[in-house]
Amino acid sequence: MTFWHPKRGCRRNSRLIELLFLVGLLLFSGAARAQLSDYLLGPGDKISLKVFGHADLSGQTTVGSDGTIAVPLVGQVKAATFTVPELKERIVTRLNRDFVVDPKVSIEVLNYRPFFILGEVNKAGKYDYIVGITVRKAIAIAEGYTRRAKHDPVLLIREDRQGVPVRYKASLNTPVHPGDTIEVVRRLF
Amino acid sequence: MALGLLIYGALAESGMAQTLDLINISADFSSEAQAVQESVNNQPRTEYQPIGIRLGQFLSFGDTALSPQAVSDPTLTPLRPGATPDKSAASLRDSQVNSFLLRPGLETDLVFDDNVFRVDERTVSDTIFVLRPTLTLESDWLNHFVDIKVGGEFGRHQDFKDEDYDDYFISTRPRIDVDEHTVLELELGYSSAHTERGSTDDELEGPEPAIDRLLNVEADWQYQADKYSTRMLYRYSQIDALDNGQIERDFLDAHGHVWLLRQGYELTTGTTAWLRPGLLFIDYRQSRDDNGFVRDNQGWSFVAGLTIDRSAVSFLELGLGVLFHDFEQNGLDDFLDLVYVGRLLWNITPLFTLDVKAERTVEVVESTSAPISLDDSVSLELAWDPRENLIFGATTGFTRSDYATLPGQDKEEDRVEIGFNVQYLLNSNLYVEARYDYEQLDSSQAGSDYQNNVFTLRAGVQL
Repeated sequence: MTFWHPKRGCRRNSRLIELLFLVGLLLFSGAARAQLSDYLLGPGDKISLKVFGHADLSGQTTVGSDGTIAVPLVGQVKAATFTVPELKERIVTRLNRDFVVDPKVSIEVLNYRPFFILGEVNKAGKYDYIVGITVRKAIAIAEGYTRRAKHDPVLLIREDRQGVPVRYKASLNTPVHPGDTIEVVRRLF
Repeated sequence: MALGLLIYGALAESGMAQTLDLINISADFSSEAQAVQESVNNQPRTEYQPIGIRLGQFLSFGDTALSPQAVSDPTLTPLRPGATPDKSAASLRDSQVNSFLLRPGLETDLVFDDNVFRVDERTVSDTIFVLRPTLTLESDWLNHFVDIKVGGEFGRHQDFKDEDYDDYFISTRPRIDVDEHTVLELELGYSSAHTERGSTDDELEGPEPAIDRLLNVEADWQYQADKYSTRMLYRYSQIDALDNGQIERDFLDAHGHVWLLRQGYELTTGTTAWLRPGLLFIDYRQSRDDNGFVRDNQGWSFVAGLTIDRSAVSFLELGLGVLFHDFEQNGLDDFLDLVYVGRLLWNITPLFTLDVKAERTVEVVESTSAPISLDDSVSLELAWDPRENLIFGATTGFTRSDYATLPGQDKEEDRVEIGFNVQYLLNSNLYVEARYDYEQLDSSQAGSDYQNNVFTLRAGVQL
């Protein structure tokens, strides 16, 4: 026969909670990282490029309307539709091939391009991107739903790697990416 | 229908006529509830509301020139009838006579009625053309409000010309925002309207529709501070029943007085307990009618209830009490009975509203055998606006009327009403509507039963 010990039980529970908390934290940070790492750069994004030991090759630049950035020595490099790690890899390859031996490159997005929200919200328009923003928060920024809004799901339009807009059904917790367009559709009932 | 006369001035904007039962011991105290204001039928449709004709700033008080800026300032929203007044000290200080709006409107109905005389057998149908002009002059002030409305309803029958009617009314409704806690609403109205066939007011069955002229005066004082709210309503009505051909109707001329007090206390946010005592006096000009029947009567009621108005989603009001009524006529038994009032309004979705009402009231009627009836009524209304300018409605109602009669002359009526309508707002100046209404009356009096179907096509113009 086994007896449940209250203190031991509590300790076990608290350990379990700690474990769950840690797992949750790891999952959350992983999701956040995934959210940023799979972000495709696009026109309007302002990025900081640093080449370790080569200040003259470092600087800030904005992805142009043609989707490229200007890198000293290298020239125009296509950035749009690439993730930050992919762009970093492209620049490292180009520098390594002709100009710098084993370059150490870091890229950071300083300013993301805005996102857009339209449809049945009180203030549709263009809004500055905030890291970690979800559809729910975006709708709040747009001053909430109108009376005719279908609350969930909403449409999210995001460009794929070919630059083609793709429509997704998004929940309120879906992360918003820079350049996304959120469309809150009208309800029938 | 009790001594209700068509007062459609108050509804000129919606273009819908309605009957107000002016002499009964009841009142709607729920119009300002959040959920009621958010319901489909009360939604502001700014794109489709008429803007009116501004008469300009032609009035001023002494040296205080009217400030046009106050009107053009988009942050200052002029109060509209029924709107909650902005009672902040600043807005009261700024309230000035500014300007008036003129709102003309015209509705035309094409009506097909399959039982014009509301009879059980040998029914006849007719097509009726109805013209309903209205003209409203209303203030456009930050605080206080006044309007003057003039209008008419003119019905022309294709076959039964004797059923043609010409109704008209004039009314004014000043509202004085006394201070941030107190509002006084007044109403003065005069109308002339025909009694509808099949209504209790039509019991005398004249060759033409009978005409009642009614003078109505009402004062409604509302006070609200913290958790306490008080509302006192007094209504005076004077009815002049015109003779109909050879039929004398002078014995129906009467004065009516209604007092209602509603004292509320907010138990928790949005939940209010209230008490509502009321008095009703009906005094007929002739002490006895031609048959020696004394119609004078009076009564009181006392209702206690609870109102739950916690969100814009639902509104619930329940009240239960007693009513007492006594008569001057020997042989008419005084009675003490239960009285109730209930309403559930539920905005099931933002675009779909359900409104259920139930009530027991004392109605003053023009029946020759009874001065009043005790009515139990329940109604259900659905409204749905899938688009901003497209509104569907469905209503159903049941009323059981128990007439206060002398022994051996018992009279009871069950009335069922069902209606469907769809309204399409073309723009802020034009709208169209299609309606279907079904009515069925089962009466304990032989030969009074009837059923009828009414189809209406309506077009309205408003500026």
